[in-house]
Amino acid sequence: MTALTVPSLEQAQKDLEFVDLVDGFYCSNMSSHAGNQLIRFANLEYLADYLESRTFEEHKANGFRGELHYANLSALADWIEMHYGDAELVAGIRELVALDEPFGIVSPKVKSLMQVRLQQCREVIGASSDAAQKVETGANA
Amino acid sequence: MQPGLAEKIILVDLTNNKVELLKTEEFAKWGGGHGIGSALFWKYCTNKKAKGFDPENVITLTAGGFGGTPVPSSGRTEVQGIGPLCWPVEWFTRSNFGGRFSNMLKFAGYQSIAVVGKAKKPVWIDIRDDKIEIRDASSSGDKLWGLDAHATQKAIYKIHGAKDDWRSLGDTRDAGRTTQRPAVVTTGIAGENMVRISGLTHDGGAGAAVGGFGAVFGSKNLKAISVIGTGYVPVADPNALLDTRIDVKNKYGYDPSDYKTFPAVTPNVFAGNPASESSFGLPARPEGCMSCHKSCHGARSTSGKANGSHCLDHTWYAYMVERPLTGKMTPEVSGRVGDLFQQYPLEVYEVSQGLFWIMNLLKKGLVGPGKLVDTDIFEKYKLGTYEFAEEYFKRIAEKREIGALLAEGLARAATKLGRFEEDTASGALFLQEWGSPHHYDGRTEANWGLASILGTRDVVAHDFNWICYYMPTLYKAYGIPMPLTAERMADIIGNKLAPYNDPMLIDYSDEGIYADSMVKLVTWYTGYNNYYKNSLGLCDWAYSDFINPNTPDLVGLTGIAEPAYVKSVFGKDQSFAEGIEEGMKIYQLDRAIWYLQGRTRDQEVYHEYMYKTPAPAEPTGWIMLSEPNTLPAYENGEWVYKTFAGRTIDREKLEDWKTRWYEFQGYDGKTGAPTRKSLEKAGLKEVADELEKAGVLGGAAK
Repeated sequence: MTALTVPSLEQAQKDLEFVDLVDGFYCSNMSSHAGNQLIRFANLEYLADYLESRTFEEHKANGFRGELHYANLSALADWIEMHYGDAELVAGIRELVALDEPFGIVSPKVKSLMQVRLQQCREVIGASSDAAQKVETGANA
Repeated sequence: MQPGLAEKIILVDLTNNKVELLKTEEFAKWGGGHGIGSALFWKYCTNKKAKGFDPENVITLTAGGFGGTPVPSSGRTEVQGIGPLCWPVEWFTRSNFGGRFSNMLKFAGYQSIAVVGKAKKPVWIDIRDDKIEIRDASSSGDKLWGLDAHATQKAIYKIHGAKDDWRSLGDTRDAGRTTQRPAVVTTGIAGENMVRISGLTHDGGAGAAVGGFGAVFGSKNLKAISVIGTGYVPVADPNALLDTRIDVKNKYGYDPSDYKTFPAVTPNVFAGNPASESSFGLPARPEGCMSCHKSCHGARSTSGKANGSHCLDHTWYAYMVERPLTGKMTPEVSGRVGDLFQQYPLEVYEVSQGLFWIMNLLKKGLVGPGKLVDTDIFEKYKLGTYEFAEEYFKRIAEKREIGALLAEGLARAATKLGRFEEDTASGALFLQEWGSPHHYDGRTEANWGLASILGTRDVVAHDFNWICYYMPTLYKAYGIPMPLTAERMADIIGNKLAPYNDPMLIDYSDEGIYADSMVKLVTWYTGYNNYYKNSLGLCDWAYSDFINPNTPDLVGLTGIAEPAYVKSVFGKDQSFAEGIEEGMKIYQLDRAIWYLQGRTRDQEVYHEYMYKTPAPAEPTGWIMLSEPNTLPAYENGEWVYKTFAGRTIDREKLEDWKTRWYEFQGYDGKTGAPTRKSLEKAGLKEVADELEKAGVLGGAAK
């Protein structure tokens, strides 16, 4: 999987923002009862959390009761590019999509990549706020 | 009197506060449920052009022919009448609910209850065996008016003194005794206020929500119908019936100690077993309808929230806003919203897609104080919270502010705003046909869409849905081969589609969906649903059972069990193919009524987005309704499972298909209207006479 370099503070802050929900990214909640219900996400964290990561065996063990959390992963890369401009993350997703693996195989990889990026973002922001606090503490001393 | 059916039918005239008993015998040839309901409507609705809220509208609640017997999963009640939610015409339509009502009605001695007229003040109907009373539901009487659907039922239990112990329904020594609560079907505040998207609720969440029948109750000043019976349903051959039940359970039902997942498919088909947890991941106990071996309502959860809800009702808010905005899906928010649906009660797809549409209009800057959709709800309440949903529902139920618009149903709301054409073409408003919210995709799963456009509403009949679409789609999504080939699937299913018995019927290829094989498939699908499910009362979540994991050859019970049920309950030797024909006879009567109401061929179409390829700039949601749908197809001389995401409807091919479908039924190929020949062949001469008198009889059939 693509290794992501540490994002800039500006990119990290951006990646953790919400867009307006009406500009959100559509996933499909594929239910055996309700049909394909659209679900629209407005931030990367909840979207990554939603993306399908269960194995086929896990679905089967559950009697296929759990809905398939489906997303068009190419469209996801486009949406992230448009709203977050995180070129490295987008390239990473496109690289995974280009492997042309079945959705259920590639989706956990995309999810994992997004979660790595989000963790990096939290660390960058955390480090930045620690540094700011140290500067502030030093100034006060 | 035919065994299996209760002897009497109740006809209530609310205008004159009068109850009349009819003999079921006159209507017995229609089987039960939908067939009897259509026949009652034909006879007692003297003005077929009446609107849903006109006192002349006749609403029928009819028990299935198998109701009250041990036929597995047969406890459905069919609701029919002129539906105020239907669009663009308030068609004669149907809805349906499970639970205990149909059984109780038959135990009390009645096959159906038909209600006409309008009461002067709020009333409810209290049926206790042979005692039928129209009671005062107003504040000066039993104080039911103004209560939600759950509170209404509790109040009626209290009136009955039902405390789950023995009590007598009469004063005599031999009066019936029971431990049961009455079965109550009721509407809530939304129905009282004649909100077109309001439905009926029975028990926790057995509901008939499509068509606007809650509003029909409201228009008649009818709050609820309660029934309790202590009798039984005589059947032709009780031993054979019990043997059949045991046999199908042993051969085809689930075994909790040896659960085979494929192709049981969730809890839905005959072999599906009950869930042990709710949608919120909490422990839940199974709960089911009377007579059902499955108990698929798995939402009786430890949280106590959304009990009785088991579909989109308790999950839509989670998926629409709670999860996107908070990352969570909780019983405290979305579970309680599920309860609101049952209590008002409201039609979930209308509310769900309505909020989706409103959010699209919000994006265009058309929603807010003083704007096209004049509302302050987004300013005053936080989307994603329970408080938002509670207020949103309240405004709809009270027809207030944004609710006044949405209470009319999405098609009427969009028309009123002058946005119907644009928004159903752009996909901002996903109404597939008849103003019905998109459910399953007619572009890919063709029979679902085609049967819908040939009816009055989203068809909601899962026969081919789970096995032909959902399972292949899941397997394909993981790159895992299906455990049976497309060819074997076509072979098993095709052999069950009497009288056609042709594997080509489930060819969902680009050619197949417009072929003569699809003409036959939609005929079988319509006939099966009109007769075995909606008339005899079999549940859509158990039948058809084409492919079953518990048999050595994976061959399910459909085609084998249904005629055996008919034989043991009714004492009739009726072949499976004859049952399909019965269903098409019932359909033809419905279709005749629609033509009297003004049906034309050009109304039987999809809304515009179904014909269009989305432009790249369109929201991705546009295509997600059909992606990544995978179905069996016959291409280049072989059967394959193929993904049909993004397929659009070809207008010319659809019109040509319709012509062939009409002609296949013996209808007028040009107008789609039933002909004298087709009606008389079905024994409906008087219907042909009526259509002729109205100038709408078809006449050019080959």
